[in-house]
Amino acid sequence: MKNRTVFAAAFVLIGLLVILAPTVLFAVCESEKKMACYYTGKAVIGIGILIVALGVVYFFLKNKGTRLGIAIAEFFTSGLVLAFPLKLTGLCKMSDMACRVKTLPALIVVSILLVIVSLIDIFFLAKGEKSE
Amino acid sequence: MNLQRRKSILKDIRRHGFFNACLLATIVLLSVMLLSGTVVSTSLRKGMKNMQQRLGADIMLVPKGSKEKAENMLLEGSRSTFYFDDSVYEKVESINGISQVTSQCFLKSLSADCCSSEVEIVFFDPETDFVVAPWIETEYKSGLSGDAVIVGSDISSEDGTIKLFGQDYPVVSKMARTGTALDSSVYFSSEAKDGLLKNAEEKGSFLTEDQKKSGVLSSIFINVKEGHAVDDVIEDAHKSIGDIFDVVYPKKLHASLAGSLVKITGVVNVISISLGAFLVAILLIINSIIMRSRKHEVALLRVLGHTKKRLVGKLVTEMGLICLAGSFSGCTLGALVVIPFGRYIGMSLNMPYLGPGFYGTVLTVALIISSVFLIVFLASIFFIIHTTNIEPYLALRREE
Repeated sequence: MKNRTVFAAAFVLIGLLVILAPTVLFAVCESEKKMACYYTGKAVIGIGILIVALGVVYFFLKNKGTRLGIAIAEFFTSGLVLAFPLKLTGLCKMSDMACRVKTLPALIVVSILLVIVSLIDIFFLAKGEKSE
Repeated sequence: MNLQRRKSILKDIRRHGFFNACLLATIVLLSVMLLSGTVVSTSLRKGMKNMQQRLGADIMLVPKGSKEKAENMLLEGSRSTFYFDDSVYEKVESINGISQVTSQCFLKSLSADCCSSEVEIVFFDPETDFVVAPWIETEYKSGLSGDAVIVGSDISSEDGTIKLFGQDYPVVSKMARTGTALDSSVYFSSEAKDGLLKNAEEKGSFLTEDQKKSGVLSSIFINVKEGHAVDDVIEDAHKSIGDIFDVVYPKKLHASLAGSLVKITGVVNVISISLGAFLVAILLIINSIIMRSRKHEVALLRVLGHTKKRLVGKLVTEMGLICLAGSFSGCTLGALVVIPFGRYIGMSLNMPYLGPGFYGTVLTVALIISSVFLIVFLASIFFIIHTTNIEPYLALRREE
């Protein structure tokens, strides 16, 4: 029970950070013209919602195997958090723009946190330790 | 260490869970503080040193109204487009009291085939240059001819060439890292300008009217001869060129920033020392509490035949494991904040900031972990030895 709550809370918190990073905490560049980082921000919000949703579902599931599956999904979603700014949609091209100076580092940090949390969870669940 | 002993040590750590968690939290905080403080102050100092090399001119002349842009350019490396006629250069050359003079022309952010980000193109005169050369990492042997380029450290060149506007240019040298937008610049000899602009136009790149002109410059860098006053040179320049330029003082800019750096590192040091002393005091208190609460256990173990040496070893190993976990987590947390956000920290402080490379980071982390080990060892060894030295009879009697 304890582990399940802790990891579910961690996933929800990280998901919220993913949503807040490009919008409130380290917002992408503001401009009338919609630049690449604008679309990256939108995509990342979507991924954040997915992370939160998976975290909520994780909380209500008692079956360890299913939770292991969700933890693995969270692990791969962390890659997606970085794939959008780095490859898929990209960011502004100038290296001193807000999206490159603030948003990208924030997403890197959040993504690493998600990797660490999901790996620890995968380790515990795979090891078959009692989580309830 | 055999399996049973390892299990026993982990069990002991869990048994004193609360105090060991406090100890772990203190070590994490100490490591975060040490790593962030070290990385930030080292990066600021490196950035300043790097900037000093870049600001090799006494004065820099830029078109009137472009002073702020030019200062930002020197500080952050971000290129701006400002131009004046190249006839100014000839007039400046003839001014008395000048030892070195060179010019540069910037083309801001032209998208190139080579790079995921836009590159900033700079035309300079290799014959007279004294500004670009100091931070060229690998010296190029032959002169910089029309079709050769020097690239910033962020630009990767496959097969020693770079493709710009459909044409391949050989890369003859690479710049050292500056941590600024200069890292994504490409440097051409001035004579390559017309050909490159022609290619850019043919490939459909947008060029302003000013950029299309061939006889324009963005800035003129001047070093004044010893014994001559900078103000006299500026006055002469005003007389011969007219009031069409602003003056930027790179070396003065560096001096004022160096003053700010001393203040910032001073504040960082004071905070680090105060917080460090506070955390060490907490470590001492926690260690004293932990050891006091374990007197009974240590005495029993001694009665059961454990030697003092073995007990000290066991307690030091426990402390070492907690320290390893704490310092590693602390360094990871600290690195997660200060390394990705390095550029942001530099921009917020309005200071040049050159973050550590991979090996630099590994070395710093190793150094911090060793220092934290030493601090924790020194803060606990007295209590460990004191506890193991108490006669079992006295320890057990007091516990009753």
